[in-house]
Amino acid sequence: MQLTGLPGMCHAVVGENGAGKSTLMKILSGVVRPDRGRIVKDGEDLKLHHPLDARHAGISTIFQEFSLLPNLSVAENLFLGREGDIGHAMTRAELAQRSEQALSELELNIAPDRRVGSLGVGQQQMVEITKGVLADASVFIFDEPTAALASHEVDVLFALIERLKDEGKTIFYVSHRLAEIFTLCDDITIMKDGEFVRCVPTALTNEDEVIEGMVGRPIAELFEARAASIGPVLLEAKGYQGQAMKRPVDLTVGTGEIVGVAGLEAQGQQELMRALAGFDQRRGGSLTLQGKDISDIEARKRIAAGIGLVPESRKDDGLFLSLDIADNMQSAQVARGGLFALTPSLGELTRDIMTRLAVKAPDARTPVSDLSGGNQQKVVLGRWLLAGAHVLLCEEPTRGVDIGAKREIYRQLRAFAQQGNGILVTSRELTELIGLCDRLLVIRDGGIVSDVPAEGATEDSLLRAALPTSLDGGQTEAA
Amino acid sequence: MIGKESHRSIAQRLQQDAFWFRQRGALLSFMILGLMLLFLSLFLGERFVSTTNIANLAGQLAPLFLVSLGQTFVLLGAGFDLSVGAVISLTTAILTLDFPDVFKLPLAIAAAVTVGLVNGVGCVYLRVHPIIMTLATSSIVQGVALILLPTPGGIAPQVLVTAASGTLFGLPAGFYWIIAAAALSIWVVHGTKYGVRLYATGENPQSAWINGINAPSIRISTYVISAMCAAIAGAYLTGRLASGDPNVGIALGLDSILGAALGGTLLSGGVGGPIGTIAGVLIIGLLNNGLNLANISPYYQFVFKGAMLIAAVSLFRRKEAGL
Repeated sequence: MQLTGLPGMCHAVVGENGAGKSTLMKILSGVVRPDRGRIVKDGEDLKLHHPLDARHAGISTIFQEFSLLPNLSVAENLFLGREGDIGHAMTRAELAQRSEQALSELELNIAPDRRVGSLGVGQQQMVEITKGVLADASVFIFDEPTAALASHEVDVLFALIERLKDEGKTIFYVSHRLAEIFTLCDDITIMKDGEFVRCVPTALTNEDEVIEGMVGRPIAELFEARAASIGPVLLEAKGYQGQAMKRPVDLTVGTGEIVGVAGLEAQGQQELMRALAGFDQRRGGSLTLQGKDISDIEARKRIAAGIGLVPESRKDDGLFLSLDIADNMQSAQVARGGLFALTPSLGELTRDIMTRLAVKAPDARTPVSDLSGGNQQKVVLGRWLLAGAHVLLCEEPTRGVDIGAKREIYRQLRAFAQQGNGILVTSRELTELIGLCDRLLVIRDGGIVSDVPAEGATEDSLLRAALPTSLDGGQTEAA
Repeated sequence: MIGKESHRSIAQRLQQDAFWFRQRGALLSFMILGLMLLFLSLFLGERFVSTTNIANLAGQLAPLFLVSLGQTFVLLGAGFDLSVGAVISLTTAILTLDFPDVFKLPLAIAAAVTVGLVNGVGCVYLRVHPIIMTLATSSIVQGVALILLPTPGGIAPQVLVTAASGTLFGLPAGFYWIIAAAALSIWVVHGTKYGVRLYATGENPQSAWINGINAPSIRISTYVISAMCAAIAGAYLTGRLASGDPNVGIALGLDSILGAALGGTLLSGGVGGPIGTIAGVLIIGLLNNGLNLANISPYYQFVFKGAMLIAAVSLFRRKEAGL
């Protein structure tokens, strides 16, 4: 593997999940020790055994898996491990003042004594970025910095990176989002299966070539064709509202239809999905599935009725990490029976679904903790295929998975819909929603403000609907 | 953009401010403590609110204060120390050996530090579960204590007798031990960068390490602190009893965890602190004292303590904490 960063340049590192980008960045930041090879900076060999070594060498990393501690305050997190860097121990007031200054440079309006665990995931990412750039470093590594950010936060980040470039810093930028790389970076290094593929100047290549390099084969089209026709309504909410939802919601999902929910961050997407899945008690309205009223039944019975939830945090809510693929896939089916119902023999079906979804694993007894993000997501999808769900509620189905797995997931979602089922999906990536869905809803402040066909929708038109109207006052703070 | 986030309710601050969030349990414990004080002074009147009783209470509670504060460090670092009771026993055994006084005190401290280091290294580097590790050292240490001092007896160094049972400005010595231990531990946890690093390590040692914190050393240090606190408690008890007792520490081992847990320190680390532990220990002390003064069988204390531990652990949970 080879990688060279130049001062004042932004160097992108791309590759599918499991290509080794994050591991490479962890080596540069001293978290993982290299087996062999050298790291040279300013003509000097670096020996990085500990994250502190990297820090002293002037390398600062913005980690993908947050290095923030949720029980500490923003200020404590920002200066953790380098409380004495300014020559003397900081007083509480000094700490707060320096934190506020650092935060305001990134247009963040967060009180320094706020507990990091009480912030939204986007704000946490911004704090992580603030912490990274606070360091007195000459090399900055950004590992998937935008995965959790809303678009205006991305703008702030990009301005920051441009400024670092102007100051002559070296930047390594790891991302799945090629559009960002093409606006931001000067060079691109492509990795595949832990190996160096090639390094090209951004000006001399295009997105298709880069994707080809990552996947190792040409990609004709990322998305499947949309549904030719939509059948009768499967899921219908009329003024439905859960306890945690700000407003009642009307929506329908038809047979064969994929409906997307777009919006800025934390506009009530999760509350909506969880309420439909039955994890939140009904406050008002009605919910029907295939004409049957399911307004008041609990989550376990909604599974039996044919609703499946693919939650955003696979690791916490979606999977039993210590169990194997078969147990994970069969868990929804098993949940249908009583406590002492016989567990049906599902081995055959499980293997069949694994083949259909192209789950990359030796066998059905592989623990899901050993799988990559994309394959884990396939296991969650497989669970609902096996349980015979009719309507899938998918939260961020491709978060943190690579392009190859994304394509596989799009294909499976479309195939699922074509078999007479429906899907409601949320995503932060507007291009994904436009490409994947048949119809798009825009959610703002808990209410659905727009309902348009996905065909012909543009990121621009969706964003315009998603942004609060100009005189809404303080609304932007929540975004 | 809105201006400052200054207009927040108390409930919001408790959830959102890192400091207050970590001390939520302590707040609740102090409320319960307040209710207990009110109840006891109303029903027991003069018998409770008397200088003799309060002096007694301070004298009795000092050892539990010391070990609970030490235990709080271990719990904050997401560890567990069951060996403190045995260390107390060992300390009293060493301090009543037939030896010159000048050697006994350093020897006792050195023994405690060794136990702490063994606990810490076993838990951190050998990856033995803290409960198993400290249970094992507890057995060894208690065994050594019994070998050195098979039956209660021996003579305590005179300096400890004075330091533990004398009075100063009309207040019993135990009171000063409590104040010193509480002030010192509050300062270390809330006033030094060691404190912040301890909270970070207890929450997630891996993240702490990524931030350049030597998480293994921090975790080992908590066991050493705990063992030293136990040794100081042992020294105090030796002085107070004016002789040694190889079984004196046994009850204090579990009570130290109870005291910290009642004060809102999570057994999973990273939340809580010495301020809450002060309230937790006082709750245990007032319970005993109240039963005693009301002429109720002291054995009820065990029933109540167990129930309180369950209540505390289910009340202060990680889920509630949103972590």
